[in-house]
Amino acid sequence: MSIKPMTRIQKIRYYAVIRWALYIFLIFVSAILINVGKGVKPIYFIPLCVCICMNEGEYPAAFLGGICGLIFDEASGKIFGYSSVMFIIFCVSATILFRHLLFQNAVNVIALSAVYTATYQILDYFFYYAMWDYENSGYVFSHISIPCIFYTIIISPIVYLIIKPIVKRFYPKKAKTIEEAMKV
Amino acid sequence: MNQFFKSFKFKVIVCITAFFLGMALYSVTKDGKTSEGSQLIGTVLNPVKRFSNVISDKVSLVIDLFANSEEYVEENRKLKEQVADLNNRLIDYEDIKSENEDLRKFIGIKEENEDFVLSPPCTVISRMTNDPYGTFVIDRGSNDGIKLYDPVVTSEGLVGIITEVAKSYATVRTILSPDLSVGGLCVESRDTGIIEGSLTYASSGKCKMIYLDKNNKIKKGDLIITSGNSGQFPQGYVIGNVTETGIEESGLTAYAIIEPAVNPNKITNVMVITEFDKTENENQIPTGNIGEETTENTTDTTEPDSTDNTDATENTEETTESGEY
Repeated sequence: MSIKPMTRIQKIRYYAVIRWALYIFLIFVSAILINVGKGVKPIYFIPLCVCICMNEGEYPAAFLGGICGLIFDEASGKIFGYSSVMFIIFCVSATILFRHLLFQNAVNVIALSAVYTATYQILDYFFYYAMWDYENSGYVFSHISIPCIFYTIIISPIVYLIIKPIVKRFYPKKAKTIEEAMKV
Repeated sequence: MNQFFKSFKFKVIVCITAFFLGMALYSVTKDGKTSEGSQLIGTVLNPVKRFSNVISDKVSLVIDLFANSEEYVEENRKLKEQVADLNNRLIDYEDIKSENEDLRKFIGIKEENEDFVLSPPCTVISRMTNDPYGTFVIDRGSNDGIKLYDPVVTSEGLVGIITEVAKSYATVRTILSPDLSVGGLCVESRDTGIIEGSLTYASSGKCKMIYLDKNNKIKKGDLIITSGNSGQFPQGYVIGNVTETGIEESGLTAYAIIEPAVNPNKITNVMVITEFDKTENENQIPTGNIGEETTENTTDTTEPDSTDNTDATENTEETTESGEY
């Protein structure tokens, strides 16, 4: 009995399922890590979303941002849905930027993660502390927001190195560029 | 890229964003009740959080033992001295008890706790990520009789209040948070004030007692308990000890820095007082010479009912106006 080789469409679907299963596993791991320990922690979801969104479309990016945001809201005690709104904007903009303006490399992932984390932390600081005029609210910015941005930047290349082989192995091959064709 | 903003895709994404924004706004209007979506995510993630917390605690313990062994030896030595000192004080306790019936109320807190209806023991299942006040989640919720704004305690002292309740879990705001105000009374000097968290002291696990009379007699080491006038917190429950005193910048009032009896960042188990006899709180606290006037004026207040306190006076009004609540 011979096994029928998969058609291209079947292969794309098969790879997509495996790829997303791995992404979901990584989101799950991030959900565990975000709850581990008591000190300042990086926002694992931001570099993860940026890396995943490099190769995905706008719709998956929006849903990914929404779900990751909800998990992060639950872990950090923020208003349920607050982070989702921001993460959707981050993910969709990352998708568009990588499609039109940026190369898919570690430097861009780090830069984009840094910008998004800084934006998130500044807004978080403003809405949760500065706006309410707490005494010495600058403490939160210097002792929580800035270290958080710094830690997130540090873990960005690690996340990139985890996502890259997944994409390389399980993302359907695009048509070859002229340069690639000429090399062959 | 302009094409994207005109496309159908963009409109759909805007709709998704609007949906989540709507959800956030809906959550705000729930006023302390956990929204259904949040409950769903929370229920799914609770085992994950619990697992994370177990790993975290074990790893922290091992690292801590290696890193701070010398510190623990020193701490152990100091504690032994402290125990010896306390034993000596205990000898005098009986004499003081017979001499001062009123003071006994505050020292013998356990004697007064018969009216408490306590929840089953609650385990801390997670701590809020990057939260400076040590806010945490416990594994009991409304199914166990826990209600919004119930006081959370340990046998050592007050921890905080419940600020969000789901069926199977609840969020606890600690006394390190500036959003929680507790009426406090100094056992030794009878001075009263409001205990609030402060970002300045939250990192070192301390809170601040404000609106103290400038001529107060509070000194380092004094015991602070709840005054319980508002009925929000049981009367006479231990809050902590004074570590520092001073005069506010305005020069009008004094303050004291309190080291809570319970460090919210280190606890793993708590209990929630679901019911307590509020009639006790209506009785006036026996007063000494200094705090007589202010005792009546001090109230425990939290965000929702700060305006409900009928006995709110200058002190609390001032606090409310200044947006501290």
